[in-house]
Amino acid sequence: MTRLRDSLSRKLTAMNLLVSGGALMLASTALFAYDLVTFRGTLLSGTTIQAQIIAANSVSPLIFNDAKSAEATLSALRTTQHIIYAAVYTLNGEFMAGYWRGQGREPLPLPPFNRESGGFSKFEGEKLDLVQTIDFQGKTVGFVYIRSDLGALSERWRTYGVILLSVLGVSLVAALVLSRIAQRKIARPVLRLAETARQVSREKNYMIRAQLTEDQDEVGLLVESFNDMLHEIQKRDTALQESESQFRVLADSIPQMAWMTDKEGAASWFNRRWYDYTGTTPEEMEGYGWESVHDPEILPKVLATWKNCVRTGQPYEITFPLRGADGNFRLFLTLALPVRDAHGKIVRWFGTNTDVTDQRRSEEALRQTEKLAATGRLAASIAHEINNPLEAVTNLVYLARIQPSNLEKYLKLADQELERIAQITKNTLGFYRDTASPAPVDISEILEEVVALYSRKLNFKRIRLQSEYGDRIVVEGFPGEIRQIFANLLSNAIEAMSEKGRLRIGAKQVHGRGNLTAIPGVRITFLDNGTGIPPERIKKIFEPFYTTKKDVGTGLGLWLTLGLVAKHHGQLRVRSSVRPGRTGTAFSLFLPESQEDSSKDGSGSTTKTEAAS
Amino acid sequence: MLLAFIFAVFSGPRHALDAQQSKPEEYQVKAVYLFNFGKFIEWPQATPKDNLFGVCVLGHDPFGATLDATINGEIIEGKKLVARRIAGIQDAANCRILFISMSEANHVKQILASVERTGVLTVSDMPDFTSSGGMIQFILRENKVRFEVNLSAAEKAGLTFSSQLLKVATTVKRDEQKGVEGQ
Repeated sequence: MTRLRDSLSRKLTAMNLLVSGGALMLASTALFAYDLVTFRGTLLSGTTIQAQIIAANSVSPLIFNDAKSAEATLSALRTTQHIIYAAVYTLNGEFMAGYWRGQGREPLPLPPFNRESGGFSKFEGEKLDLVQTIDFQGKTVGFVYIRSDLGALSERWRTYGVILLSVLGVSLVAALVLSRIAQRKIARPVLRLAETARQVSREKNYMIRAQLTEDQDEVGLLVESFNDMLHEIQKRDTALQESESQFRVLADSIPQMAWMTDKEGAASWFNRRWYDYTGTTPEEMEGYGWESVHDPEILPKVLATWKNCVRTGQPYEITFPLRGADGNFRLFLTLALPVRDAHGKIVRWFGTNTDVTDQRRSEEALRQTEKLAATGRLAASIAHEINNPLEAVTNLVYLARIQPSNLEKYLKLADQELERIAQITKNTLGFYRDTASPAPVDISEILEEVVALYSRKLNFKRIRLQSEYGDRIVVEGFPGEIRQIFANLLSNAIEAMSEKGRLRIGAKQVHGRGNLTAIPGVRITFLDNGTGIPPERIKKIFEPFYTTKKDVGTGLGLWLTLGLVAKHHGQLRVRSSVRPGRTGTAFSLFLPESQEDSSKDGSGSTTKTEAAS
Repeated sequence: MLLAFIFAVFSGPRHALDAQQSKPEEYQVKAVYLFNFGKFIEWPQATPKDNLFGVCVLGHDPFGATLDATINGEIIEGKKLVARRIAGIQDAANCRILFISMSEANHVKQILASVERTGVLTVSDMPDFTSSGGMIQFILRENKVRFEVNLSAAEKAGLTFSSQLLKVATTVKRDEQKGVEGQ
């Protein structure tokens, strides 16, 4: 602190000294320079004037040959500094009387010059030789010869130097006095302010206030503004602390695990639930320490996705298992968003991990339930389908018994009926015998089989079926699941229609839509002119347990169908109209040709619901 | 330059030569002084209507032709100088400068009395001339021609002597009192 005070006050003093001294130096330098430049002229004119005065006073001594009188005139030059030698000469050039500065007594010879010109002057180095004619009544009666040097200049400079030094001394004293005043008026309040600022930043105590000054000047304003600023900081600090603690409480009270990373993706914070679940410590979790709680087989994919999001700034969404403190893995849906500053630059990421293990299990249970329900429905359907040929066989056996003559014919017919039963059985088995890995599936063949399965229902309702697809439309997939998708969509269409309805089933090779644009595949459409789905319901139809047929349906059909479509990385869209006279629903299913280059698990699945009014 | 050198070399022995200078040289200096006095004097307005400025020698003429040669072509107060020799004071009507020769020493008082207020400058080399009421008296000092002045006599005649003239006078006298010693 003392060092600071000294420095500021010293600066003020130095500044004052510099200004006054500098101005003085500048002025005197200019003066000296001017003097030096004009010195010859000054010396010449000064010497000329003195020569003229001597000349005027030397007329009568010359005329009356009075050397003593001339000497008396010349002796007046004692008061001058610059004249080394001065003498009066007669018209013939004879020395008459002289003056010497210092000790010399030797008369100098009159320098040669043109007498007609009336006089002469010549500089030799720093010396000036000047001859002035002594005229009386229009006639030259003699000469004055003066030799001058820089004596006058150096004498004057000596005087200047003395003045300069005294002024410099006075300014120094004045500067010291001024700096004392300045220190009291400016430096001291500023230093007090600086000390307060240091104390605030050192103690992080924003309750401190700087002492106000008496003067209402800029320094006073500065102190006031500083205090206002401190007040504002204190307010914000409190608000920030509150906000911070609110955030901590919130972060620790939510059921999810939460975390933050820096903009590079290195973790900087985890909520308590994270440490509780993983059984780790903050030290272990620093930077990329979270990798240790991941499944090593899945980690590369997780890291690749995370780095991609950090690089592009896209929201992070991924489901992966995390190892708990007990060593068991649980599945977590992880979401993270970038936090941006005022300029839109990412400063950190905030993410959560939601435990979806139980949800997944529930979903799986639901799937099993629906499968059982579907099995039941299928069993009923098969029973119906088999019932007819069985009745026919029973009748034929009876007929054969009473009319043995036609035995051959009846047995042949019974054979045909049994073949139908065998076919139905074979088709039914397809639902349950599925391959473990994707295999080529002939879409048109499966469509034929499914339609055959529901042909009795179609006939019963006298629905006109229009099939618009060729042979050999092949995709890669699981045939049993694709069969189930078709069966669900077909049975839904049949149920939506009254008698004499019209159903159109189409299939053609296309490219996907939306984020599947680049993928080749097959689009299968089920278009009915049934009752249609009102817009307010259309968004709910894919939710589990949503049904309009409480007595017969489980409300899981479309939800399961969507799950199967997602498993195939396909798309399922629905469009429906309830406008009178034009009612109907269209399901549009897209299945990719290949299952190989699927980028994300399940993420290719999208549903689009549209309601045409 | 060479000329100046010679002057410097011979300036010493010049004084020695002065000591042995002959009479004509002395009067040659006196002749120069005589008309030069006129140039350092403010002359009164009322002057003779003569267009010439008379420089007269009363009594025995010690100058001879030197005087005429010296003043020839000189002009004072816009008038041409002319030398005159007069035998008696009655002929002094056209004189502005009057040199009274040693030969008139016996009746110098009468001569001075007769020209006392006529505005004529009286000059002589006789002893006690200024004491007798004369204005300028030549004297010899250190073998040099010097002069003393009686200022009262000049004032009486209406002549104003320039300070330049008084500066080089050996003595300036006032009335009968002892004059102020000159430089």
